[in-house]
Amino acid sequence: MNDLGVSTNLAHDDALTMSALRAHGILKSFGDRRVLNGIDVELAQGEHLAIIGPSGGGKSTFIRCLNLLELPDAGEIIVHGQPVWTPELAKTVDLRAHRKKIGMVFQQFNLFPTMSAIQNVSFAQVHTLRRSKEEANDRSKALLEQVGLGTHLGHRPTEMSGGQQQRVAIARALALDPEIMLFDEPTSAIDPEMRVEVLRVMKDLAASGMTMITVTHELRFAQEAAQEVIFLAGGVVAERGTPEQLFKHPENQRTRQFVNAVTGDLR
Amino acid sequence: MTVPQVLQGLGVTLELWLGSLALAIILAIPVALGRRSKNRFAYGFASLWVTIARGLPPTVWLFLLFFGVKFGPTATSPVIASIVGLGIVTSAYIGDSIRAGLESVEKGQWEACSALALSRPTTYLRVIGPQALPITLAATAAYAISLLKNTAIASIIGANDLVYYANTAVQLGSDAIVTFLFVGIIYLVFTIPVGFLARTIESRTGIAVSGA
Repeated sequence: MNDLGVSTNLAHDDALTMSALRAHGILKSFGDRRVLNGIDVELAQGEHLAIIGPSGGGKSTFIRCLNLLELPDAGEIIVHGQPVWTPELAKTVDLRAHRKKIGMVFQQFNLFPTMSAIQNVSFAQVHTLRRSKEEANDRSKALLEQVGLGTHLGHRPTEMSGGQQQRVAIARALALDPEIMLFDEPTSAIDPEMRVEVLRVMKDLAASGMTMITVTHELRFAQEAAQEVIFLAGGVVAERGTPEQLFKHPENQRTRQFVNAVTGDLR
Repeated sequence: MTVPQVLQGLGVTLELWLGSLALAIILAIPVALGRRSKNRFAYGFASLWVTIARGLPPTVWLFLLFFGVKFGPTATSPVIASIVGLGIVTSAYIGDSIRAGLESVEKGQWEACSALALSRPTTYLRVIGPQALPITLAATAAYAISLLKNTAIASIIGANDLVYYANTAVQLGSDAIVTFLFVGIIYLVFTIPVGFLARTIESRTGIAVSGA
């Protein structure tokens, strides 16, 4: 268990011998429009990868392919050495089994509006993991306290700010003890002053050893919390490297223009 | 026969109304799911059902079922034929209101359910259903009013409902205006509260439902 009480699930030896997630040659089209044109990504256990790039470049589609909310047209996805997606596996893939291992946090939170914060966090524990209500509620309380919402257990989503809702959404995803967490622009729909707490929770999570992929426009966060950054544009990985390399010494002209446009103060 | 004796038909009218409403709701659920299905057979069958159910006048349905369907040597009773006929017609409308309710729920809610590995029944019954219910209920209440009014045609195949007894009373000498005014008031006793319910749901959810 890490600092957030989240099981990191794999033995240390496994972490040394295989990647936590490998996506290779991911292709995806919507109609005639090719959105992903052969994406390769590999994450070690406990690694945090940030994906940056212009809107419409394929970032969200790629992250959605990883938990199979979108099904890739070609390529393979391997989690801890086990192939979970290839076109040949399309008819036999167990989507629910795969998604239990991959937590997903959405830009628009997508909390269930008919439920309170604690019910949102407990619901899938009871219905997906078959935990007892008592066990699920205990776990939910602990997670909501860890994301700073211990006093908001009974609040409905409409009674919370965007930042608070997103922290509930993070707790909800963590409650399933995922092996990997995916964040799809988690602060884009939140007022700037409310983003700090969400980013703090995510930094703590990354520091605790959770394997994470974050699609973000928060370059400072990516610089401080990610080990690797990729610049995704036009459906391809235009550049990849450490935050230091990508933000301070970008080799690709498009990366340089993007980083300069988003923020000049990192360089 | 006196005008108050027309009330003898109230039981059958309520039987026709509630029976066909229950049947309509039961049939409407697979119709709604079929119309949302990616399975071509399910979608095609549900669409065909809606087209035929809506396309024929309710009177034609009643005649077809009353004269055309027999269980062994026994003819279908007028009440059963009416319940089935009105149930089929109304299932198409309620099916589309259920579909509209499901489609009114934000895509992100479905995606959250998928990402949390919830089963389809749990997704529908525990997450999406409660959010779709206000829209579906408001429309269904409006269709329920239409259905009650449509039960009046059951008398043409011999169902002994309010209208059947009213006709009989008039034929036996009761004043037609007074008799049917009395029948109209009885219908209003049921349609006004249901209409109020529909408008309450509309105003609370901000949904505009076409009047029945």
